[in-house]
Amino acid sequence: MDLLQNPFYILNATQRDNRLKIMELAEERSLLSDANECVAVRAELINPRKRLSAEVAWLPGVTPERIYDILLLLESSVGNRLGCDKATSIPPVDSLASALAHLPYGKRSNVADEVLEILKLSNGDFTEVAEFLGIRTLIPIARANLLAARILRLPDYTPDIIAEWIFAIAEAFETINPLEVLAMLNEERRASGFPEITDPSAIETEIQHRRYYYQQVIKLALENILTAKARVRTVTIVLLKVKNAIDSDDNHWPILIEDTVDSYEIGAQAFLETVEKNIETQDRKIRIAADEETSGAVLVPMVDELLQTVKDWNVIAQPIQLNRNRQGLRHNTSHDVADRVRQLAIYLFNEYDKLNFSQKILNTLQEVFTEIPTIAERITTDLEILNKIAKQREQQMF
Amino acid sequence: MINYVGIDLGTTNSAICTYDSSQTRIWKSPEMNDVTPSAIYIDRRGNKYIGKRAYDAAPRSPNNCATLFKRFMGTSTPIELSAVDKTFTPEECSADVLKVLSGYLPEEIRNSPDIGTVITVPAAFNQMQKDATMKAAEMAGIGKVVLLQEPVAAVMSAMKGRSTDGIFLIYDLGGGTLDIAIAESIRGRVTLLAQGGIQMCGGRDFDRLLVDNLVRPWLHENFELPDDLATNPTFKLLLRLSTWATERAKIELSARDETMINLSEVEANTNDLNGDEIYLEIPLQRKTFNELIENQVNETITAARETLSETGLTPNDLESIVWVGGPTHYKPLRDKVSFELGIKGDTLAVNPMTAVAEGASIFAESIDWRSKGGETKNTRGETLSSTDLGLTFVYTARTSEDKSKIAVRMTQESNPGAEFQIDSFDTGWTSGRIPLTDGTIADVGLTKPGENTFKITAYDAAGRQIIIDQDEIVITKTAATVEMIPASHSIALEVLDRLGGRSVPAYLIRKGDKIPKKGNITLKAGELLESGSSGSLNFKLWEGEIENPVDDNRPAGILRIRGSEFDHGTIPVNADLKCDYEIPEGGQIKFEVEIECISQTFNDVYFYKDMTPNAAHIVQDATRIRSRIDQIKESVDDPKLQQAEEKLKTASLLDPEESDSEKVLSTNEGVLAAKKLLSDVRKDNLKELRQIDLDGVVEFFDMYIRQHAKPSEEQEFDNLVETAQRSIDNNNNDFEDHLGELRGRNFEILWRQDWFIIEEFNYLANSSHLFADQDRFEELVHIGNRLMNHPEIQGILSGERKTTIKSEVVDQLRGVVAQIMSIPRIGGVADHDEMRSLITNILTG
Repeated sequence: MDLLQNPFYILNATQRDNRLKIMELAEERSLLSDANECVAVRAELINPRKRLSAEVAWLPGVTPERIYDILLLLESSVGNRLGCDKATSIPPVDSLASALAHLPYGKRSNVADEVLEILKLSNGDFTEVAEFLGIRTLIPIARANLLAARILRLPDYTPDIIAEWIFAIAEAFETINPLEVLAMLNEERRASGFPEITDPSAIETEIQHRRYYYQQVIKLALENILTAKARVRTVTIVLLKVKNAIDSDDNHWPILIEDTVDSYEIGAQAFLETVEKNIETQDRKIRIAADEETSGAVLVPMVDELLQTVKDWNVIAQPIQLNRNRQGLRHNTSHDVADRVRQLAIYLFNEYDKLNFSQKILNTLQEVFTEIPTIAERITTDLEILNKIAKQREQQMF
Repeated sequence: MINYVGIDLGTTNSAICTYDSSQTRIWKSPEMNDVTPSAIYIDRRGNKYIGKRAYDAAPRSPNNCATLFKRFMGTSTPIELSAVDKTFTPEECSADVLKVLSGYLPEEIRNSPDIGTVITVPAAFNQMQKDATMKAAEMAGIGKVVLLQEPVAAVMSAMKGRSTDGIFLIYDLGGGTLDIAIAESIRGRVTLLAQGGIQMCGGRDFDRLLVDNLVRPWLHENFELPDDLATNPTFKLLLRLSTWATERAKIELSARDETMINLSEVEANTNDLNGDEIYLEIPLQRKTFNELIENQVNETITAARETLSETGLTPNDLESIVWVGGPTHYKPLRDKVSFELGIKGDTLAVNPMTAVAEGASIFAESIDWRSKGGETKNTRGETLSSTDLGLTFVYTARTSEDKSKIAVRMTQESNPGAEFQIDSFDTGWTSGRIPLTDGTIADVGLTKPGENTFKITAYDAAGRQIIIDQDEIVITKTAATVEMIPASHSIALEVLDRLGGRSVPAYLIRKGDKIPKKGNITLKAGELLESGSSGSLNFKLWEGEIENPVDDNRPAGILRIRGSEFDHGTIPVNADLKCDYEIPEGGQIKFEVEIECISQTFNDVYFYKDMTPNAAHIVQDATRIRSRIDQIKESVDDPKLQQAEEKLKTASLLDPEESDSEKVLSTNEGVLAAKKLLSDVRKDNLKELRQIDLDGVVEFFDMYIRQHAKPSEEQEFDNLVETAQRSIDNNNNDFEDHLGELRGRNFEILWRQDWFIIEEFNYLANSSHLFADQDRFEELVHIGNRLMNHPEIQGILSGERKTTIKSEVVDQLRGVVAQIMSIPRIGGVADHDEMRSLITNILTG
């Protein structure tokens, strides 16, 4: 649930409104916008259990007035940096002014002007705006909700920017404390007259629903990156950030990063399958060429081409391998590819005594599949045997 | 004017009511009763009687009578009247009752083309049962019909004219079912917060308890009767009459502290084994009755608590309990429920026997009977103005409040000084001039129930009147409005979470979501399907809340897209299956699947089929559940497990050949309830149960496997354990996948060990009782034994041969063990249930 699709937003309600006020707002809104939607969201906000979804997907801990200030800016360019205070670039004041000038009729408020003023005075330094809006003090769930809402409204979908946002969402999600959320929500419920939440597991369930939502948002953001190459780069940057951020002994990645790679895997599947088929074809051609006793000069470019394809394939597969390996899971496709090419190396040696070709292939495999210890282990054993044979041959020659 | 009719088509009693926008009226039977028994009697000459006369004749002429047929709606169970050699469908029987009820209406209403009828069905009715009810209405010749859930009707009736706001618990205990609803009323607008109940729990079960525990022992004490009295055909009539007499006494008990279960010798008309005339004269005190029904009542209290917990409310948040249904006439029951729940009983009582029919008739008023699908009337009205200003007045056209709102919407900015005014045609009230600006909202008072008419006049800045196309508006003040009807249970398709993954529900609608609902979901093919092939993509539909395992829910239907249904092309794995669906308030789900890669759309396909299990399936199912309970009991102590075992008791006594449909259905309900309890226990103790599983598999690895694992395998295993541990800590759904993977890793390493293969062969060779194909088993064991005598294996056994040296003989034995393992096991997955036997091959989107 996006912040701007939240029942509170649709009814222009706050967490502190009581039942009667919600009924009133719903009736009024239903006359001015989609009546069916108003009925549905009203029912959601009035039902204490269903209301929880809306509350967790809202901005817990933020005062009602401030929430609408923040949301007003969400669609404007200043929102680029909302909740993401590790910003290096500064949104241009001109473009902000333009965004504010185009706010829908009646939506313009003092806060927009104030933000504009602060930006002008601070020479476009966003940190002061963040301070003004209380962005820095948001609790993690609110921060994650805000980031998720904004990532889909970013004007630029470049790998560096998206990677930064994905990492920020994952970091925020990782630090969500259900008990803190519970306390915040109950405070609002006391004010609105709704029964307090007594079961912390209900909050945990809602947080898991949010996780699913953030996954979808990240997936969409990745899809907005136009080229496959840029998508790979984004995921690679995210993984690099994770590696740098966590202790080297810590095997614990933020769960949303794992989810991001899972979702990347689904997107990459079609490409990996196509390249895998190419590898299969090239493997078959090399075997046929070897069977036909084609000269080494012809075989060399064929093998080189195959090894390059494997390397290309691996560039895409590597984030998946990293993620799987760290989780103790296997990436079967990687095993299939490694096994196919390894079998070719064995075939060329066993059937045609092409030791150099086999060594070359296995060396490349060792280099490519270094992230997967079970494969690397097997290749190492093969190479040891071949190297031993090569050494023996060398000794025999001299 | 349209005549609004509500019919409560009950299991034991039915009622009909009309509503004229201000008053409801119950139409009585010829015997001047508010309710009519849902019973049919056909005499020897073929004359058909419906209602009280049929009900009275039922105990004496059971083979001429049909009763309780509502319980079989939507199934293929025939209703047999063997004495007159006639068989009916449950729909035909219900149609007869509906016809009789319609006959109570005055001719001018009955024959009017402007009549809209709402028929109620239990909240727990599935789509097939609803469809059958619609069919019965069609057979009865009732024109325009809409179905409504009984608890919603009860709420409508209970909230009619109620001035106090608050949250109420509606406790509707009928002859056959218990429905619980939690409803909030704010200024007459009713929101259903949650619904629940028990399918097979009602007054009829109280009667059975009395007969089993009081009447039968009394008969044995006072007369010479056989031990098999309950099943002996000679005494079948006596038992039916006893049930009838018991029910009569039970009803009397509502009005006094003690009564007598009476049946004279003449009425009983049966002799005991000594030839003595049998009679009944059994004193019945409230105390005895209360003790007998205690467990049943406690179950209803549990159901009410569960429903309440779904809302996140506590008893303190509730105003009162509204009592509906015959058995709630009994004050001690009301007192007990009220005391246990900690919620006071209702002071503004509705008539428990007619509340549902009344509510249905009130609801009928909210339907737009001119619409094709019987949709509810639009609560919002619009009146247009001169188009050049883009001025529209939008108003709440239907409300139960004493006031309504009229809003101004303008697409263009108005001139300052423009104004409008609202005048009431009924009272002469006027709003005075109000500035005409976009977003202005004005309140208007509604002085009478039904239609209130107003006139809107608008003026420009110069005071000239602006022409409004429709300047008269009608706002209806209703008795009560239910603006949102929630789904009574979730409906999901069974899909795989990934290729080769596990089954998970893909919800089309969740319990509590607003119905009707339209939606779409894109799934993926999990299996390649070629045109003309015999395979199929299987869309399995389940009703219920159990997420794991999905097939513990109530089966609702299957849609199979077969290879034979398209002429060319192939549906590859991962192909998009675009599903559009519509869930109406009554009737079937509309489901359409578009598959772009073969350019074909599958629609108008029959999704539902008779899912009534037979006794043998139920017995088999119960055995499976019992073993799961035993397994879970080893690590968890939860009273719900005992309750689940109790629910399975009837199933353990069920004869796999049992033909009594009511008994079979009721046993099946018990099994479904046990599954639900089991799922609750698992949910409540998920972390503990998962931790036990994980610790077990890790302990096994450390003790037996680690020493044989390669360093990379050890690392992989340890990483996976960490991942699984995180799944437990975070309550992730993928834990079971990880556990399966860990077990697989253990086996994989063991499988490489020669000693394991030899031990495994010895174990399997001594377990012939496990295998279905004994010939194949013997053949493989024979080959294996020959290999076992080979010097290489003997060398391993004696320790003379190092297991690190690769043995081809052990490899051959490995092959034999694998083949033995692939022989089907006795009592294994031989499941006759079509839903379960069809593989799940649809992937989540």
